[in-house]
Amino acid sequence: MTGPEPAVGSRLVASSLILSLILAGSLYWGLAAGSAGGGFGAVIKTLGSAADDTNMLKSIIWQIRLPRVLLAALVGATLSLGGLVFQALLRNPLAEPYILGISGGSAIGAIIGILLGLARFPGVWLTAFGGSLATLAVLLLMAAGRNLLEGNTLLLSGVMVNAFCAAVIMFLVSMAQDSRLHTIIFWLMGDLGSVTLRQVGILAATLLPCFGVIHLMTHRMNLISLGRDMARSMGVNIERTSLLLLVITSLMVSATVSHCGLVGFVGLVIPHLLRLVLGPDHRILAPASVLGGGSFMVVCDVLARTLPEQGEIPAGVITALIGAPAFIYLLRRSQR
Amino acid sequence: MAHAIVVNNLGHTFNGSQVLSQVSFHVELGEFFVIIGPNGSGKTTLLRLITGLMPLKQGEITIQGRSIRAQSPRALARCIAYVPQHVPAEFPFSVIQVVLMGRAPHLGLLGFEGPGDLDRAHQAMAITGIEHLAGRRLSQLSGGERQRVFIARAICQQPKILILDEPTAALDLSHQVRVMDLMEQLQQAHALTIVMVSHDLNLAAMYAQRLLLLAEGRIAGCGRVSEVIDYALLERVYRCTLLVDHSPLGDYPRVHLVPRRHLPHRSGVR
Repeated sequence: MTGPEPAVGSRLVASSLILSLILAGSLYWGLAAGSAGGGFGAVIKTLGSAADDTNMLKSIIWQIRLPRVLLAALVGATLSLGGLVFQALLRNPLAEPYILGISGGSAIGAIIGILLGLARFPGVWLTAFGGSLATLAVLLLMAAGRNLLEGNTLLLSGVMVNAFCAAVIMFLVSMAQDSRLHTIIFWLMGDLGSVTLRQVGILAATLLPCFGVIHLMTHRMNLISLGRDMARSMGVNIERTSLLLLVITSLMVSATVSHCGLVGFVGLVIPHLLRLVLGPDHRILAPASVLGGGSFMVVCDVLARTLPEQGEIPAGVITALIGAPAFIYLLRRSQR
Repeated sequence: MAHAIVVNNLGHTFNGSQVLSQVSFHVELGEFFVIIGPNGSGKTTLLRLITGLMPLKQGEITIQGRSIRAQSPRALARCIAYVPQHVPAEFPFSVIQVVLMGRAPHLGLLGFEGPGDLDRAHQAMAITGIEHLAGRRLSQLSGGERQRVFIARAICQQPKILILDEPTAALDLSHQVRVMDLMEQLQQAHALTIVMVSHDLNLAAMYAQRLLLLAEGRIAGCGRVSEVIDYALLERVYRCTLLVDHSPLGDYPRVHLVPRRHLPHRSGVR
């Protein structure tokens, strides 16, 4: 590249516009596709038809698929944005939202909830969220006293927490009986399940403010990428900024994961891929991760619902099947 | 007018040992001030305390008349710019992006730059001679070029004081002179105060107006170059035999290391 790049503002508008169109397209496809049928024009047709309760397709699209598709978009957006923040905080382009082990705590909480026979929402959600809060507290305690971003303190604490949670999860799974085992496995693989519009609304109300706060800190994330010393010398209050980013991101990832389990690879692949295409400026990457991650998850969910001949496979399986080869490709490319 | 930097009775403890103690000195406005001393003498610690990178616990530091404790990181950043020895480069930022980050203490909440900021970035790149590298990635540059990118970024901060940590340590001979000349230019043409840690005594002697010699966390000497570059003082601090004579380039002392085979024939020149 020769010469300076075009201004941030215009690149931000251009990338957001294109990704918004992609998201809109994915949402439309999500509404149109499914085992109950539909097709390209079906969604528009149901808008035009009379408010007729006996029209099954209409109610399927707007009462079952719509909340599901919106949930998928929220999940994808949260995990991608979360991955982006952790990549900046840990100064590692291959970090992802589960790297600090908070998802492990959420899993333990969820499994306990399932074993207790609680309903998916609010029961299992509450135990899962509680588990992740407990893990976040342990993490902050372990990393407290030393500087949060110093060396590998945070990363190593996360690895330890993850390892411990994995052991507890295996223990709990080994104790589970047949019927609940299936529910547990689906949760662990990441499953969007059935959800009402009201539940999605509550989730959105908690997540969107988190998105807002993170977007206000994107320039500081650029500065942190240059290192702790550089960021502080340019006026960033490192302790406050990194703590705020860590807590907000952990909470939003926990809220999402507590809903639908450990959907993998989205939080790693999407921000990394977007960085390869759009560059490392977080002011552009943050909205791009929200829109791009949302689109990706909606598409994966469509595939999860339509690929198998009967029923559906967990969305986390699709994200892994697409995400793992994508990750290997990105890894090899970054080594060149 | 207040001094640029006043350090009063500064101390620092690390892991139970006293890394710095009773350090008191001042840096005048517009001065070229170089801190020298052997490894482990506390030079880097001193620099990090002055720059606000480490919290101040013992003693007092005043920057342009205001205590360092009374200033927010942002206020301090508008006054002092820091050029480290190494900067991690995990993310593929381009040169212009890095230089623009120097505008951070002057930007609004969202951190978007205006045309004025872009102008300053281009000015800074012109001064450091890196305009032709604007679109390149940091990882594609040589050590000397990368150094100049970070100096340009520091200039963009519009500081009054520029602080550098061993800027010539990893550089080729040509880049060493180039960086030091650049610092002199910034000092004289742009009225910046330059504070630098250097391990190169001869470069320090040729550019500095005053030197601070640290040894084991205490001041061993502070003053004009001719006062501090004294062979008895240096031999004591650096614990090796040295020869100090006059540089043919001008009124600068020149320090020579002495190989063992020359020792019986040593003649100390004062």
